[in-house]
Amino acid sequence: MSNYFDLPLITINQKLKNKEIKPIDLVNEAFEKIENNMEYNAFITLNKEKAIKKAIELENKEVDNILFGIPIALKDNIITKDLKTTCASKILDDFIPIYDSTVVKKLNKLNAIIIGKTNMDEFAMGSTNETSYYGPVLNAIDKTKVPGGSSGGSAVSVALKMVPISLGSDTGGSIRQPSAFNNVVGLKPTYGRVSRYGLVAFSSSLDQIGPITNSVIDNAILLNAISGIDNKDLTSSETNEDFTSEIGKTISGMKVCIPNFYMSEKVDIEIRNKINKVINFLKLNNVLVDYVDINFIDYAIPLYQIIALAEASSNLARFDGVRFGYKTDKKITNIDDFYKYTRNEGFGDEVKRRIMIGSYVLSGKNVDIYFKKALSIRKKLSDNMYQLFNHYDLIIGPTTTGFPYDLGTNKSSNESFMDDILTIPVNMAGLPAMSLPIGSNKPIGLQIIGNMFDEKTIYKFAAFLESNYKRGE
Amino acid sequence: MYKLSNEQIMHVADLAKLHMNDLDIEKYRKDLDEILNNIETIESLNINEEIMISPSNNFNVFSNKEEEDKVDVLINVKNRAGDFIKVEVENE
Repeated sequence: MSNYFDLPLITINQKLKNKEIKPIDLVNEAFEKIENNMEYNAFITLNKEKAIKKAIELENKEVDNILFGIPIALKDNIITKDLKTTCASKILDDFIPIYDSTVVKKLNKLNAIIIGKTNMDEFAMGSTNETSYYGPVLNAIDKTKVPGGSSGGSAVSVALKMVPISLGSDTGGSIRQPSAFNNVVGLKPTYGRVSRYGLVAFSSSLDQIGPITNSVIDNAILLNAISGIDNKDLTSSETNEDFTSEIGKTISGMKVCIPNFYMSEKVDIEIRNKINKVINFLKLNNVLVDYVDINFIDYAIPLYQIIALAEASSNLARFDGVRFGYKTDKKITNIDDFYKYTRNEGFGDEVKRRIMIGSYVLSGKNVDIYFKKALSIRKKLSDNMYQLFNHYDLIIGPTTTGFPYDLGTNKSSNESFMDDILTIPVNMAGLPAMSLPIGSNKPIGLQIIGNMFDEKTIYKFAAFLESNYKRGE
Repeated sequence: MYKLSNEQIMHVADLAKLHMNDLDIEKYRKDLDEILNNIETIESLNINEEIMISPSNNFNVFSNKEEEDKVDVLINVKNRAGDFIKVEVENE
């Protein structure tokens, strides 16, 4: 069995150009590895026949870009035409989309090869990949532990090199947290950097699609491919940037800050110790490191529980069994019951809990008491974060407060939100952020948060650490 | 300790278009209470100024209607009758 996925994209690309290897060799490697790793349950649907067909067609085409012939896995909330898309839910168990999302159109144009759709928490609601209708995903490093979520399948498929690159989505940490738990590089781009057209919406003001890879440069290459303005997503913004352009530069003279909130006792001491080692390394490399306070950051979770769940209750109203998806077999006497039975049978428990909370905070007087108030706090928190970038290039800290825990731990719904306490504030403000693996024997992610549309600086900083910081120390 | 009454849970389930019976209410009550208790921590904050709906500063634009490929949008309908969708309801 080959191991081309151990190589950087640039090297694989060279081998394709030199005709040392063909796209079919890469596709074969992907499916062999997937078949050897079925127990991890990282995939819901495989695209084997079409992937092989495409690989053979590409043999007659010129290798004209770095993603040409590269196998990629997509989280199963990213719509793919004619390829089942389920959001890991019974309610979409047989749903075959009739259009491609914008990111898929871009990847197809570049001739990347879609290998399959990865497992996830149902409708992206969760942080352990245990709420999936198709069963949990196992952590790539320790099979008894959770892989994180909701992009668990995307993170594990890359960590185990079943594919060299994948796409996930992040609403409150769903790319960064599983990336930290599986020692891979995951980026949530700036809100508006990547078109959300074709991403099944969870919380429209928080969601972003983002790249998950084994290296920083591959991550930047993939972001180049998927970003850009799209007239089908009016929240998207123009990009004329090469995200790899600052990679390789020194970080000497940079200024970073760490929120005290990110180094509180909530964070496991081992993780804090590791962050302190990174700080020492940064100082040795002439980076200024300050500690700062961010007002309202400790309200991140209630804000998320109000805003994300309210938006979700609206976005998931479309799943009613009428135009697509699961519908109830029960004999019903009115349309209301048709909706209610369909949704009760089709959705999992966590989804139902969240829709109920969301409906509650949007009902009657609660809109003012909770929802509008949450939006005011969101503005204050976001402004406080934006202001830090007047003085600093980046905000850094750990991605998670702890390590991957046992599968089946059965935390309460409220407790589970705590898994995302360090990642949620970033989505509230719309800032870009990466999780970079810095642990050695245990998975630890360094979260690197940049200013709006400044992913380039994140990549510069992360690449320097990746090359120069010795993770074992 | 905030607690939703049975009627309130039934009302919320109705808004959310989820079928709910007495067993279900008990199943969800504890989790809903916990989350609502957490949400209520914002009540003590005295902020009601400018709101932030989204991090995007884009203005709404009206675009010209594009010519799209004609796709059969009813292809995923389970109970189809030509260009109509059938929803079967029993007589009471």
